Amino acid sequence: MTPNGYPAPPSIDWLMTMPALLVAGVGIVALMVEMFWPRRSNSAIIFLSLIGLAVAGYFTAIQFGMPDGETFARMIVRDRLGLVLQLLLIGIAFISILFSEGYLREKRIPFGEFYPLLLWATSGGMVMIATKSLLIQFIGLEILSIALYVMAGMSRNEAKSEESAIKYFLLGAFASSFFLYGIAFVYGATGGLHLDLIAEAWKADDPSMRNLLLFGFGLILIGLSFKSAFVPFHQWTPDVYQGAPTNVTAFMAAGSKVAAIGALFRVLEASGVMQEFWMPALFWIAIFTMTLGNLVACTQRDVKRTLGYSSIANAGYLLVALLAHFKSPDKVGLQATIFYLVAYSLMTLGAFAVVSLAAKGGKEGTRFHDLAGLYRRAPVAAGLLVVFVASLIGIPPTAGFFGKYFIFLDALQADLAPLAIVLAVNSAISIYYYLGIVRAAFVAEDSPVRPAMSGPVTFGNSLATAICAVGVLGISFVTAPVFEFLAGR
Amino acid sequence: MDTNLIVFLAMALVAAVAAVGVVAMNNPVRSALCLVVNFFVLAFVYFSLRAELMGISQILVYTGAIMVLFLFVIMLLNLGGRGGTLEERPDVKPGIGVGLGIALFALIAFQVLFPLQASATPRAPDDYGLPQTVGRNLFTTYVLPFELASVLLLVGIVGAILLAKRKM
Amino acid sequence: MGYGAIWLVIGLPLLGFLVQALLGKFVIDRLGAKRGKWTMGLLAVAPIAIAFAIGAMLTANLASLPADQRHFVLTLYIWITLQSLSIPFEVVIDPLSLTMVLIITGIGALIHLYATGYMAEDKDYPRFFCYLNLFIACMLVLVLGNNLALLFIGWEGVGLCSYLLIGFWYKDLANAKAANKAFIVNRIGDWGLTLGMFMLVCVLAGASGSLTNGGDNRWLSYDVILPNAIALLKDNPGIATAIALLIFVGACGKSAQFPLYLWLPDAMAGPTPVSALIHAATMVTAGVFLLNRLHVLFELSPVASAIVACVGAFTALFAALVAFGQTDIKKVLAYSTVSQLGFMFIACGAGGYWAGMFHVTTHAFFKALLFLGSGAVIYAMAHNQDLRNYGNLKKYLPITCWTMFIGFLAIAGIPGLSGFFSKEAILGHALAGTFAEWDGIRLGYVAGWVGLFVAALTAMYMTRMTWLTFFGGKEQWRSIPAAAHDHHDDHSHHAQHAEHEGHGPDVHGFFYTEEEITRNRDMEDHGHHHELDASHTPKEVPPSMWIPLVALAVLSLGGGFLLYNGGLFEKWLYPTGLALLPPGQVQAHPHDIPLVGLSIGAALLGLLAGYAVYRKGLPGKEGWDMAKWNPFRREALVQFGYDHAMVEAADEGGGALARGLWRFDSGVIDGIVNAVGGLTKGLGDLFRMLQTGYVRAYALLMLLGGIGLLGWFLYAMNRVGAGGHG
Repeated sequence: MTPNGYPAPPSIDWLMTMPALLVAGVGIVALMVEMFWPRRSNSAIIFLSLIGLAVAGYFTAIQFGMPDGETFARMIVRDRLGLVLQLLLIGIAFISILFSEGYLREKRIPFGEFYPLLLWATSGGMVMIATKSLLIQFIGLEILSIALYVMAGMSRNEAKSEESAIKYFLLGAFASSFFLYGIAFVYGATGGLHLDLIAEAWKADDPSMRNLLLFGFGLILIGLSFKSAFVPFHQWTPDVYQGAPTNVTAFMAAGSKVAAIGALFRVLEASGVMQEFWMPALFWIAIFTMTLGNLVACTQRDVKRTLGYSSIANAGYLLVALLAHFKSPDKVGLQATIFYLVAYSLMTLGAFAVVSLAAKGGKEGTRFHDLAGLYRRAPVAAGLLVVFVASLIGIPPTAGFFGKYFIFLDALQADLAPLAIVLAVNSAISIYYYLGIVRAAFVAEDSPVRPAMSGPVTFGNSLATAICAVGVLGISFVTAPVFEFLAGR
Repeated sequence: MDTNLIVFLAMALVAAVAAVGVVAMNNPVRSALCLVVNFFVLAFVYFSLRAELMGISQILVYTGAIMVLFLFVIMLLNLGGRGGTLEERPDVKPGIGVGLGIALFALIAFQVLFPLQASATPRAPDDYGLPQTVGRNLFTTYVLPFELASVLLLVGIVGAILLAKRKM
Repeated sequence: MGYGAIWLVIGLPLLGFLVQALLGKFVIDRLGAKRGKWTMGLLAVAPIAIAFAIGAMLTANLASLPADQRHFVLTLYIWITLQSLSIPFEVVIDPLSLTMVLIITGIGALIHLYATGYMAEDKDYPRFFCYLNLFIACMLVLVLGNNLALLFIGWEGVGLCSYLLIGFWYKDLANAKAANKAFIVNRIGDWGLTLGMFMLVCVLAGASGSLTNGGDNRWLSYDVILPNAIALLKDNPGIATAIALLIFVGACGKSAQFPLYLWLPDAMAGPTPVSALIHAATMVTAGVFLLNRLHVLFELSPVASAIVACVGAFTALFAALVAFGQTDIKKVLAYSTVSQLGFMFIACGAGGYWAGMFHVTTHAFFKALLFLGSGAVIYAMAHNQDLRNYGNLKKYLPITCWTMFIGFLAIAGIPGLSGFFSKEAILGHALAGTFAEWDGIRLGYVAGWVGLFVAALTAMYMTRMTWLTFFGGKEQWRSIPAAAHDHHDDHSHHAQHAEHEGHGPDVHGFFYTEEEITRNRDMEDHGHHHELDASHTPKEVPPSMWIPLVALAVLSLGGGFLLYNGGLFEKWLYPTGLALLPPGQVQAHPHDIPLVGLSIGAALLGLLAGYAVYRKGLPGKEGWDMAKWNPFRREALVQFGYDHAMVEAADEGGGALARGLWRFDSGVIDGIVNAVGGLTKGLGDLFRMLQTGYVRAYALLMLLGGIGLLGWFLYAMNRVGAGGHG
């Protein structure tokens, strides 16, 4: 409080907020470029966006090793998890942008506004992760979501794109209302919006306050479960993934999941005091999420839909990793979660980047038979698809194998053996539909009546898939250093 | 039961009925008008909670600006006038939805609100809700969320333009 | 020079591999075939030569240290960390690994040099050196790695390179088949090796509580395995035997011991430098190296050691007999390699591990020499490999002839040359040691006598090969009608005489464009690749090919004496003797047997017998008409039916087994699998029905889920009473 009785302006460590603000700012500049030179090609915007992301990545990376702390009146937090996930988000946006332009061109929707929206979505996700304030988390969630709604509906002459946007919008608004309602409850119980207040309020041991807190937490959990695509809040996923332009789906699958899991971690960590209540619930949610995602994926005939269900199943795996950590935080660190997030992001982005090659001349076929003959037209891409699918299945020595393996070990360590077993069984089930994708890419083209579509393989796409493939394969050779880094040693 | 509670309950009832009306009405104009009522009553609720600035903003922004925009759009698209623009097949889902909604409400009411009402006393600082307080807080403690909200609005604007602009 | 330079030793060949793989085609296209190949050849030889120089310097460094300090482990980084197992990328520098490094890089460099000449006219020149450099890198990982995981990487790496190189001229179906055979037979060995590894880890990690190794959980690293294995397995010889035998199965696969030897003769389908480098001098000795590395395990188990010695002795005898029936010069050498490897295993089985390594070293000298010499002969004889087409070549190929002659004397065991010393040491250990016994029977002793007999056989069949090739006065190829190969209807003759290394362009155009086919055909027409016939005049090979021959001849001549003299090699490898066995049980010289005399006698006997038979060149009984062959030789040609039986059994027996399994599979297993799959799919369909596509249905489910979650909270709270009293 200042002498005149008003709150003092917050002290600000700009470096902590820099990455997210920079990404948002670059988005604004990119929008201006689009505004002043509307009919030019998007190269300038792309270049600017990539540079901006790289600089933001740099400012994130240099913060490793700096002391943890909070700034902006405790609105922004710096810790290792936040930095790693922010960096991951930046990377996801970077890779998405790399293969977007070629795809959007083939799809005949080369809007320059896409890039600012993507950058804003990224910055929204970044603040979601880098905060312990529910208010910031909500605003970040909304920035991310609204940008995604718009991008999902960007392919305006396709009914399914519009459908996916409106579905995502309606259900997202529904989920956001839960989230907001929960925040209101928590505010009522704690008198503030900072997550650390939850534990304090809980310890006050007032039964009615505890009820309020627990229900507030439950409502927040519903909102975040929607974003993470946990069963039964998952149903938007396949529809939206299928309808949205493929590059948007890629970002949605990777970026939005990273942000949601990061935010979920923050909330669960703050609510550790209520663990006896939410642990059993999330235990079953994890089982249902893994199982249902994989089972339904087996019945799908569309690559993007299949990958949508696969992303649900993967959300389940990630939830297992989180639960193992919270069940016994002393024995099980967060490394497996982060490692799997990285692995999942790389292989999903890579797979979608390859699938995006199916677009040509404003049309796009994503059903299994549309992939037929891919190995003839783009042998390298098809080969890389095998790598990504192998990683999704979890075949050594890919990142996916190690990720699942570490989660499995963590679950066993944390006395969550049932989850570990369900995870293993589900991995086995998932082989069926993942191999279906590969098979689709490697069968010969079946009939000339329905020629398979494929656009040219652009440099950006090659680069994006190459980065993902190198990451997926390379990371398995350095698991030990990566783990030590993640553990902060 | 004191007067405050009676006043609040009266306003809450009107707001709730209006909100149901928004969803239940088939005619968009009527829906929109129900929404106006709902917003107005909400503003009064704010007033009764000594959040004058919130109440005024509610009336100015929502009832004044946003609702007018809604009505404009409805008129321009010529959705009004004709009854039953939106026709639905008979379905059990609304029924289930209503049931579940009531269940949720009951859950929260019985487990949270009643115990809370019995035990907690409302607390608010003296200058709560004053324009000065809100302003100072917005530009000091809450400056980051405030600025981020502007990004959110920007996303909304750009998104609307992107989705609506004619040329492809 | 610091020991960190060891990374360069591994890194340089790897770099060479990358250079060949990435730049090879480009450079040759840019600089033209001649200069391009010269450049790429230099770039292939240089890394190996430099690696050899570094290895030599490190060896000098190490040798200057006191004997008990010659052991370093360098760790690059931790590769895999698990709760109970960590596997670093680490190398071990000790006398054993450096000895192997010197052999691999030294002999390797010479063979690379030779190959630049031998392969000069091949269009896939960089591909060849690419594989060859990769092979060296893998082999170095195999011998330098400080844990079994790295050894396994190298093990599989050299297996892969071997596969690639055997099938180097992949357009010939026979080569591809030989490559597959090598690959598949080696899998059997790998099965044993991996099981042995797993068992070792299980035993060690399972007893980690009772070990006093300070929580060091590198269960695959030698410096952890060996001390702990002694402590753990000393009282448990059964497990020691099991592990040792499983590892020996792996060694059998890679080192071509009976019953897994049968890939090696077929592997001669690869280019001759490959036969020299991989299938004689280095890769096949990996098994012996492994036995030396893990000798503690074998010391713990006399039974396993006895089996090793017996297998070695039988292989030596069997392969020597088969060698008599071979007419292909490379096949003769291949069987002699198998036989010599048998000797090495006799040594290891008898506890004379250093003698095994000693024979690895000398064998690397003279067998590389012999192979390269045979390559020179083949090169000079228009790629015809049949001994029956040679004769009197000393007149045309003097350098090749006399260097090869030194190699021949060395392998025959003539005193003073390298082979004599190592064979002597082996037989001495076998006959004197009392270690390798099973149930009271001194099997090592028996193996020693068998070895002595095989030594005589070796001298004899090598005499056969040498005389048929270089001496005997008659130039056999003169009897091939000129231009016989133009009459393609003359199949019998053609097939008999033109048994040459099968390479050449694929005229069917499956892999090549039309343009390339034309170019290849031109190359063939103008190039060296004409058939052998009466008009042929052999020419001495270019310097790049005979210089390695001379170098190897010098080594074969003096290397054995230098290393043996004063026990230099033994003290270098095992300065303090073996870990467990007392000197009395393993000794180098039998007291009751005049071994030196016997082995000189055996060598001379074999040599003279051979000379008596083959003095005049090809005897009529071994000519083209196989009906005149004596039955023994006819059987020997086909390995006494063993190869056929194995292939048949694997093929037919495997087929019958597979069909039987298939019936079981399609009935029972498929039924179960389909039922499970059907259930999965059914459940999936059921859940999919929830996915109606209607937003309100989705929202309803969300609402239901939310109520479920909150309802659970309500229930849980009331149950634990948090809502009541907290």
